[in-house]
Amino acid sequence: MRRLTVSHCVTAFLFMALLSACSGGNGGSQASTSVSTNTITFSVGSPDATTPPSQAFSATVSAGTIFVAVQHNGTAIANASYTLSGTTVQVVVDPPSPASLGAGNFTGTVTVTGFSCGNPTCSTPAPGNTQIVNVTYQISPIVRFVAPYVATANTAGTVIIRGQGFQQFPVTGVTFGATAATTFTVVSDTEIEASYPALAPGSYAVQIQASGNPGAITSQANLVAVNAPAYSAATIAYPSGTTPQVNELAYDAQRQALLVADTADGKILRYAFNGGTWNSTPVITGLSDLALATDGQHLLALSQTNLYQLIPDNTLASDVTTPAPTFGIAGTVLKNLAVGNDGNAVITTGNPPSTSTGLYVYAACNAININSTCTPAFSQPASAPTLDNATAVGSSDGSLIAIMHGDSTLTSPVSVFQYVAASDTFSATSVTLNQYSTNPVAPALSVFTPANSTTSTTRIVLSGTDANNAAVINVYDGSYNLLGTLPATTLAVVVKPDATRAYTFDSASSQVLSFDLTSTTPASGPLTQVGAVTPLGSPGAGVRMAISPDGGTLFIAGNSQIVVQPAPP
Amino acid sequence: MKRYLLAVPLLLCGAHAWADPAAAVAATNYEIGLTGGDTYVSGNRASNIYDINGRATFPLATYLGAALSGDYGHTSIATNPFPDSTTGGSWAPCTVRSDDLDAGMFMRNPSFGRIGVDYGAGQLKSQCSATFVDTGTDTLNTRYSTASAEYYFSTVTVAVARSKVQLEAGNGLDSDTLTASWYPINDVRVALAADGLDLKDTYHLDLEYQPEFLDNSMSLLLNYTTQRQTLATHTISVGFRYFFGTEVDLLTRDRNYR
Repeated sequence: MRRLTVSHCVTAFLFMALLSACSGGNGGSQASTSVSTNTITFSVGSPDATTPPSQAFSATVSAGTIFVAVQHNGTAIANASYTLSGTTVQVVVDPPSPASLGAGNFTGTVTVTGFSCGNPTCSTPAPGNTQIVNVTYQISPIVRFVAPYVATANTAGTVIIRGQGFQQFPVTGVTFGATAATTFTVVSDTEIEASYPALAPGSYAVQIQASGNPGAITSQANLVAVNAPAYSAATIAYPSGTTPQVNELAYDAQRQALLVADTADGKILRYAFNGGTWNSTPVITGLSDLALATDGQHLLALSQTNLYQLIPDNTLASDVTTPAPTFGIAGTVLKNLAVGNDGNAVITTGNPPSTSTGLYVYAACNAININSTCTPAFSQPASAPTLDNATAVGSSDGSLIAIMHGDSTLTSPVSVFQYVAASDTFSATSVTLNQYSTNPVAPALSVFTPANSTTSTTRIVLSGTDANNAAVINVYDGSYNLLGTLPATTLAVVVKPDATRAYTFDSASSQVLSFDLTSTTPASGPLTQVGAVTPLGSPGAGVRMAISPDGGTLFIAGNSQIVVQPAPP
Repeated sequence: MKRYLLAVPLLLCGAHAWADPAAAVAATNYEIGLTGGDTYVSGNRASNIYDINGRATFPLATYLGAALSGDYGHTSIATNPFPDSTTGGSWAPCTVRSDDLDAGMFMRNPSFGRIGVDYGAGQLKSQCSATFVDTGTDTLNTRYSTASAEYYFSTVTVAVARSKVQLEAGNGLDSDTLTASWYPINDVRVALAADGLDLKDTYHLDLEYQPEFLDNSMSLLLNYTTQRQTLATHTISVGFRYFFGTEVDLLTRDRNYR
């Protein structure tokens, strides 16, 4: 190798001088891009809103640009498409549907970059500046339900508010009409627990206030405060020639009406209280079970093949009819329903005498969206088990639905299931009982949270045959600890809304008995009876019971008549 | 297809090679190379490039030579905004593939200099959401021609080149390049280059080193390119070339074989 010499260094210096004297030239340059706007904003009132229209912007690239790349990312953008005309790029930004995102503030970015040739043969592109268009998408929270939707006037209480987006925007307040909640706790993105003070009779829009959310937040929920009824003991006769098998008895506190599901005749009987008397109103045929929807503005009624959303007034007119899903096993029918505070109804199916069939969730429409954006539908969550002729019952706050199943041919008890509305999931409980007849003592439960408290009390009554094949009627707490038993002569049971009493109709004494449920100590013996009252008449066989929200009035329906009875202590 | 047809007669002409140190091409020279590098744009975006190329240079007559070359390039361009304050997640790079084939003829006196012309055709194809302005599609065909001249002076070579690229729909790119190369030793070349016209304010520093311990059959490459415009871009690439058969020093290779 040759050594470097001084002449080489001089030569190098001359090269540098020569090159530095060379101008860059007088031609084009890097691609340059400009855009008509750097901000795009989408905004809708709730996750239930329709998808807002697409928005467009234009970009202009400089001469010498050989190609243009339009890229996007972020959840606020479903797609960014573009067309090129000369040096103008027209970019259309499509937002995703609000339902697919839920409530919240979402962002996205569209970038437009022009590229020029990067070398003399244009085999390498060279990027120019990148223009950024920031996309924001605000989807406001929504209040969908309040449960229970009926409050006792002039009495403070606690409700569960269900909706969407409660943790996306900091909730700063909850109001019932113009009255502020005394306390509230944001439990999850879909749930707030709020206490209200004593309210005068009336309907109160349930509103939340959230910082960072411009404008009013959509609310579809109303809390209806009604006076505690002061019904006298009474009997209500069925229509002449009717001997119903009562599958369900419900009390519509808002409208002061009793609703009876008669599976023998396939009818719903409705009796509205009008001052001093109970009046019979239209009989709807072809139906077998019923429950008031979460918002109380519809009556959900089952036939074997359809679910109806009925107007719960004296017309019982059908608003929506939804056919049952296609069942995989011939002979399967819709059997029973219970309503959660998430707006869903749990639908059991049956195929006697003993077949495991599917459990479904029915997303009901509410009074606001039933004729607009809502399409009610059955679905089967992944957690939904297959059960044997199951029976479901829900708490008045809609937070919990207990589901029993089984039949008399089974030799061992089966798990009792539950549906937790907060998570929309089914799960097996630690309790195993076999539902021992086609018309057993219906389960009953209550979940009660006192005003200004976040601690709830749960009492669940389940009947069936246990591992010893003995018929039992057990009372459990919210963790399914056994708290005691009710008499084997119980024909029907209901739990007082404050979870302090179980009222039974007893076949031995033909009386309504009252049992104390305040003990929290697990026990396996009989519960303490604390009261009894003889009703004005006998309801007959196949008894079902209901109770008014204030816990003061019992309704007892059998195959003979309906009995209205002030509750014993 | 035309670019491939163009190459055939040149290859046939050069199939026979002979060694003549005074000729335009002393003997047929085959080489292949691989380079890879990164481009940094204004300090916060990076693109990476790799390129595979091959070149054959062969004599046609005493002072007349020809060359045929082809290359395949792969450019992965970062498209993120910069500075990237977005929160939507990562940005997929935009990949552009290119290939081109080039044929050229030149006259050379190894003790004086070289003049030549080249003609080539290439294609760019994007594999992202990118559209070529000329075609409205993801593909752009190019044709280009280059006229060049080199002057050999001692251990210095001064070269000028003028290139014209014709894009598919007729738009074009003109550039000129002035290059000064110096051989501090016979196996090392240091080159400084400046581009003008449509590639104005673009500067290159190239180093090529052909180590003796590799029997003069391979050279190592280092390149730095910067474009000083609205955005400053800096490209650094490294690579190697392998030469088939001709084991001569780099200075001799450049002036007698390439």
